[in-house]
Amino acid sequence: MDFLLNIGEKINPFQSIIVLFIVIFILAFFAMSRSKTIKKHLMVLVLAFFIIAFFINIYIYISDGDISNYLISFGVIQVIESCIMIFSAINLLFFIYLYHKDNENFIKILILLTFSLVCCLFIIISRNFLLIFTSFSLFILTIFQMVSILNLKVYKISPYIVEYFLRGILTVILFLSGFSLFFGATSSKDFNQILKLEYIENPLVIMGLVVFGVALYQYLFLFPFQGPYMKLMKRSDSVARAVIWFLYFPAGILVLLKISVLYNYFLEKNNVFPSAILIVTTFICLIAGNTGAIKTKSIRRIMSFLYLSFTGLFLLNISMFSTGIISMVSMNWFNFMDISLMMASFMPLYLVFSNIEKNTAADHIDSIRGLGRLNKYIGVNLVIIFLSWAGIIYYVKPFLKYFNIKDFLHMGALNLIMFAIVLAALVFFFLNIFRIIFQIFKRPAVESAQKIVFSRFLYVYTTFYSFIIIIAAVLCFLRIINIDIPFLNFEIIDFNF
Amino acid sequence: MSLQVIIYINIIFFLIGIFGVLYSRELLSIIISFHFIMVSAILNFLNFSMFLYRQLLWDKIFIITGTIVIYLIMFCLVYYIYLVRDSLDKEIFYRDLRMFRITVSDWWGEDKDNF
Repeated sequence: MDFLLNIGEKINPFQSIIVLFIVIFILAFFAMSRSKTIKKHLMVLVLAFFIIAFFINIYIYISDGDISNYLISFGVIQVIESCIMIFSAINLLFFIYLYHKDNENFIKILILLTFSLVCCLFIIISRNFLLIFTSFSLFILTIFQMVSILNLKVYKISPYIVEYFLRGILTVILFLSGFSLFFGATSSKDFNQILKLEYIENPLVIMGLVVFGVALYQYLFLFPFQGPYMKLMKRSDSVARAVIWFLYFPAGILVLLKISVLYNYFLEKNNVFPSAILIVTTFICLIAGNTGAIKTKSIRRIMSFLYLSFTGLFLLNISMFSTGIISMVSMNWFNFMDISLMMASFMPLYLVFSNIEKNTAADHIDSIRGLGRLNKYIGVNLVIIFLSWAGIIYYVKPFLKYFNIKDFLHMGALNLIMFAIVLAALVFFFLNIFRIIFQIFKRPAVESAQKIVFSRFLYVYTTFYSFIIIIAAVLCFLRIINIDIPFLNFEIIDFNF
Repeated sequence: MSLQVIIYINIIFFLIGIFGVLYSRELLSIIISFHFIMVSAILNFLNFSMFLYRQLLWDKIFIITGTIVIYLIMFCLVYYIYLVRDSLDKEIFYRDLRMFRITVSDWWGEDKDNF
């Protein structure tokens, strides 16, 4: 027993990663198998190992606390991030099984999913530039392989996949440039070392940060560079869409949060230029995402646009921090809340809409017409999930801080325009929500009325997420009316006004 | 050659690469532009290591690993194109693959063929 404990201590905090490598090792033996029984058993095995990795991750932190050395850093933030990504991978596993269990490449897809999760966990815990770079590059590679293998039977999609992943390659190459500049300026090997230096404001460091910012901006397909993302999402296989939403984008956001350690140093000083750039970018993302969703009638495009506008919220958190409206701790919590909200709302919506699309063979908003009348249970669940997006209104108050509402009449023309844009973004956002809810409860079209069939799994799945949302809403409400909740040490309305 | 001269050369390489990425239409030109940026980054590492940090080992490892990984991704992308290429997909070689094209169609994610 002591021998095992010794090994456990020595491999800290890689236990969860080792568990995942064991799965890959087992799966590799069955990679060519087409037997349905083997597929089913392997699916259960992978699920079990993912759950074990999830709990081991938490257990290591509880038993050993923070772990930090020249290569990795493992603290509470890393535990939360790892848990989010493993949870996301578990959901992806369900989606893959639902839609691709008859695919001859099913086991290979599972191997790629596990390997991409391993890379993602490495991205989260790594602190050395070399490890961050390598794991991030391999992550993009596995996502590319997974998206291409899932889309093998989709008609004429290869140009769109190539167009999409050229951005991924450019991100990796720009990262190499950024790291070379950091190395030249400081000879440091991680972000914390750079933070401790006296000459941190070296132009090369700032140039490196700009390169990283550009790389991540185009990695996340933020406006106005969203073209390849929108085109791929319109054509792609449904599970490939899920891979991009629930693995590719969250990983990019986690890398952004990792690098933000260095950005925060400059943002904390309330520099005007970075704050202005961040605010303008946030506005563009929110406005363009919501107006784009209003314009289109394709459900895939609506969801893709709304996903991008949600991604803009991360920029909003950072810009709020840059103007001193929220503290760094609040910013981190807001970011985690946003990731959780995105996951908890987009996963069930994705599954329901994919199911409708599969049943009706149409990607049109009319496909969901009358869904709430035909299937009241799913209708109510969808309404709960959509209304959870109204949680965005907690941003209204900090938004107003930008414009100093007390002196509204004395505002400059630019500020007034900005203020109008924010209001327009919120109006369009709520228009989107109510447009979909209205469509759900509209009188159904006669010909499509009987086509939609939902599996039992889908009922359980949407109910699970609706419960999570309701519980979160109740807890937040209790917190807002100042009823103390012992296990929540996070002030939801903790703004430094 | 001094540190400064090499930095100037690096900047030129980097800018050529960025210009190529923004301007090129064909896949091959885009990949060549990527190489310019990559060469600039590698030269940066070597340059700083030689002139400022007395030949560290870490940057060499970074260069080797980085180059292998980037080539692996590019190889996979190109191999994928050849793998799925059939009579229907030939158009990829003549397709306008400009990376940062901002047209109305690109903005809304809609295409002319409305496929």
